[in-house]
This record gives sequence, C-alpha cells and structure tokens, in this order.
Amino acid sequence: MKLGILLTTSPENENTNTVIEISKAARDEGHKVSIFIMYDGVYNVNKKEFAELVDKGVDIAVCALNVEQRKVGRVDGILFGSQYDHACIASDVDRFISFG
Amino acid sequence: MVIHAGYGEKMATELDLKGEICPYTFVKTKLKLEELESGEELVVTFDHAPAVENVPRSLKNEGHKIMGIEQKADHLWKVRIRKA
Repeated sequence: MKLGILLTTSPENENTNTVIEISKAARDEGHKVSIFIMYDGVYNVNKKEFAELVDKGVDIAVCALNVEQRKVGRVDGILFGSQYDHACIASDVDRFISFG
Repeated sequence: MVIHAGYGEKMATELDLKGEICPYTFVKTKLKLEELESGEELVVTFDHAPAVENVPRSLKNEGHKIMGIEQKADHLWKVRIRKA
C-alpha cells in the first residue's frame, strides 16, 4: 500500500512523534510512505529521526516557500518542493493522513 | 504578449510572474501553457527563487520541455518552456 502523510505542525507537537512512528511501522511492513511537510512543520526537517526515515526509504518533500520564509536550512535527501509535489502525493497514494 | 526570438529560436509567448509566489507560479504557468499549441514556447519571468527550481521540475514531470533557464539579474530569472 502507498501511504501519504501531511505534517503542518512544529516539532514540539505530538504529531511529530506520531508521524515518525507511523512511517517507521509502515516501512517495516513494506509499505511505500511519502510525507509532505509545510507551514511550521518545516522546522522538523533537521530532526535526526527524519533523516533516519529517509534512510529507511521514506520519501519526504517540504514546501520550499515555507522553508525560505522560516529560514530553515536545506537537508540532504529531502526534496525542497512545492504544492505540486503535495498534489502528486495525494493523487498517487492509497491512503492519506493529515496531521495539522 | 508575443516576443521575437533570436536566430534559430522559435517565437515565444511571454508571461511575467514577478511578484508571484508558490503555488501561483506553477498554476499560472500551467494555465498559460493550456492556451498554447503543442510545440509552442513560453518564456516565464520569475523573481521568486524557489519557483525557478520547482516550476521547471514540475513542468518536466507534466511532459513539457525546459529549453533554458537564464538569470537576468539578482532575483530575476527567465525560464523558456516548450509545450508537450
């Protein structure tokens, strides 16, 4: 199954840990996982757990505009994309979960 | 607006998206491309840096061809697209 996840909240929100654990569990079960991060969610990209998700094969894209607005640095392995990428994920997956 | 092309280049329609940010940069480019015939070219002006990276990538994904990206000044780019 293809799972899509949207994350819009900052790292102190419990959504961050939920997204990390759901993504890990889904990958361990062999599912494809794509995450789109926007608004204050972009502050999550420097967390080591997200780098670990990339290493586990999770596709992560962030809104480059929100990154620029919040002056967050780029991170290897994470696509600094746009709402087009968000739309592609939503169109492509079997299930889509929004954490906002 | 139709702009004249240089030697060996096709005539192109021009779209000025200065002042526009994501997602309008992609949406307005896509809408303008819908007015063109296959093979026609569109030159889009951006002053929003993330758009210069993301709009061409998204358009390539849609099957269009990026003929060139030229930086004209600080925070000013022209992207030439050939419609699929």
